[in-house]
Amino acid sequence: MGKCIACYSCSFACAREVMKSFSPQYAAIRIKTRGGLQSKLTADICRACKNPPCAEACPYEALVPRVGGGVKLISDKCTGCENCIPACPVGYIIMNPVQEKIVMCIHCGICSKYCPHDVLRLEEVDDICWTQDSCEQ
Amino acid sequence: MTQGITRVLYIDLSSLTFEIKDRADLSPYMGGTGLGCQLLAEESHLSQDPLAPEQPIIFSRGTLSPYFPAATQVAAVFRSPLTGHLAESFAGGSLAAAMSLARLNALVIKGRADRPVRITVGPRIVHIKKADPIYGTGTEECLRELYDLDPSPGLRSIMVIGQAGEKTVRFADLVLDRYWRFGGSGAGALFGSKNLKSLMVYGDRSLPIPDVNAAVYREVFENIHNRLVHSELMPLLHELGTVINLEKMQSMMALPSRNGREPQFNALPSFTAQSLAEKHLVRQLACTGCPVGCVHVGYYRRMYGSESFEFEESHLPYDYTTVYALGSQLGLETPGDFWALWEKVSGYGLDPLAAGAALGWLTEAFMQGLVNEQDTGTAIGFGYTEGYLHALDGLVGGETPLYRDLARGATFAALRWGGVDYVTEINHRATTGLHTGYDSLLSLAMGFKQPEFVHPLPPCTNQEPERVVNNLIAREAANCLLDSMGVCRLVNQVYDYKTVSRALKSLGYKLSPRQLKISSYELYNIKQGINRAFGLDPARTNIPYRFFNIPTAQGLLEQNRLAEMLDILAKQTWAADKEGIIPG
Repeated sequence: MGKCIACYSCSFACAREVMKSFSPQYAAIRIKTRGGLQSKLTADICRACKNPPCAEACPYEALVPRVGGGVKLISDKCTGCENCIPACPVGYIIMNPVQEKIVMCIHCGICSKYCPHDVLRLEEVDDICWTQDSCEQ
Repeated sequence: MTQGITRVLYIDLSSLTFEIKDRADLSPYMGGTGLGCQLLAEESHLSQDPLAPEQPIIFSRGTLSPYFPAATQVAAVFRSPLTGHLAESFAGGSLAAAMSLARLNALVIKGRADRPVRITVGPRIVHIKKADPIYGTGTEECLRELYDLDPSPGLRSIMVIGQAGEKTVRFADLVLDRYWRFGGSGAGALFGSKNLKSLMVYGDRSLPIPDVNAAVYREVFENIHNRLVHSELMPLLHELGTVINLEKMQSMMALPSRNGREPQFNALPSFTAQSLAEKHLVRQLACTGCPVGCVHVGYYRRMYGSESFEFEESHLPYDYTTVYALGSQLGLETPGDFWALWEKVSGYGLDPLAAGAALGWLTEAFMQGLVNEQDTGTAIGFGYTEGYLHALDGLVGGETPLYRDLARGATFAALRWGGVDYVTEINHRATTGLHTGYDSLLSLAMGFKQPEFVHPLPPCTNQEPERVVNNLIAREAANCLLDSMGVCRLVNQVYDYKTVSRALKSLGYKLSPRQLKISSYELYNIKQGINRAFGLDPARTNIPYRFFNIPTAQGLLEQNRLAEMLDILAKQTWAADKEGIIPG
């Protein structure tokens, strides 16, 4: 993130291509500054946990763990109960107040395509390396 | 986005009230400059001083912001307290995106609060709060306070004035999001005259992309994005920034030094883009929604006292104009001197170009004995940074009659104290240090902006006056359109009429390239109509004699030839024949 120039191209790309909206604040990747631009930048992005706590916290099975890490949001099942929000260890999950559903990354990598500064990269993960046990095998 | 409806927020600081109007009658003016000029024409009071409480300041976002890359510029439009003419000043940062997400096209602020206030605007709120404790702070400190005072959801943008704006120094800037500014025309003085310390805009509204336009929009976006990032200017703008022009201008004999007394900047080897990048550059930043990232931030540290090892650090943006105005113009020898001066200018919220012109005139007036140490409180000389730092304190503090006059600009002071021949301003506008030839002086006279990247020009003897003027008007008219679209001047070659037409089409506007070209001249005419009402007359412009001694890329300029061009410009512009000047 040290190379980020705060152009928000990633957020706009996600908003445009995935969320069908011009609004970067409800994109699944959000760039933030703390204390103004003098401080360093941070990205709120799904860290693709191997055992995602958000999925464990969802009472409606709207968040399904994905092979390789992270979760898949089954939008029809999301009731907007917000149980997953405090469960996320990095505070990534937010609500989209218009849709009344959470915003979740689909790990498509469109944000990395529009990053002009090579801050973001989409990595293929080894499907076999899904749990600690299987890695050890 | 609601097609054809322009949402304008009106704030009156005298009554501490606001009103939102959704207007259908403003769509012909598009956004940015066009919309701003129309609102100014509606709200401005011709008979009143530019700093009278009734005078408005208007912030207007471009039609393409924030939907397309590099469409990031918001226009601040007002009657300039420095020049008395139309002022349009542009800045990026996060403001255009924040205004869009607050669902605002424009913001009009008028009136005067009876005590210091600050304004916060969001999609659901307008708060006018007391700002007594932050009055008197510099721009950097004030911004730090505000970031914590008003945490807001969504995207946020903050503009502030420093002490210079509070004291209505006529060339005070508005500093936006720390590294950007609405510069050059005294927007900061207007805020100060209204007792307004800061304006924060934040937005968190959702703006869905209508299905009907989605495919076209994505295709046009992709096309513009790719052309931008693969443009030959991209590496220059991003890696080294506009300071790369310093060497180019020097080689073209277009970078004067020491208030135009010398044709070359002798200390340039210490100020080259390469050298500044190697020794001072800490990061590049971008406006929200632009992949270029042309804002270069330099690092400067200052030791307390003389023998301790304790330092104060500053991060300051730098570009061609700041290095020209505070470095070359004042004959500074080292980047350390430049940073010290720029830190002071930036902290007070002064405009660097106008401050450089004021200090340049002051130096020569001091050398010639027109003013003395009693007037200045210090010795003044080219390259003498300590003297300049002291003079800036005096100027903002209004310590002496000389400084109070200088706070109204170099031209004003020269008319009172003498030395009008060596003021580096035309119509109270400071030279930007791009001395390319007749076009640069005509641009200054009219308030046109010069292109940041200049290609070598033929010698002046080869150019017919009419051709120079017509080319200039064509360029300015095209700029009027892009300024109304919110497109950054640095990348305007990507946004030709055809591209703008396609971009607008994807947003639901149907305007052919030809119609856009006609609109651009109409916008030019609207703008110049306002200038005319404000009393600008190119044919009666006084050009200080110094400009005919300063070498340019086209050689030395001739007074008669320039006068002829100004006459043609006056006739062409005031002809009011909208179609007549549209070529092709």
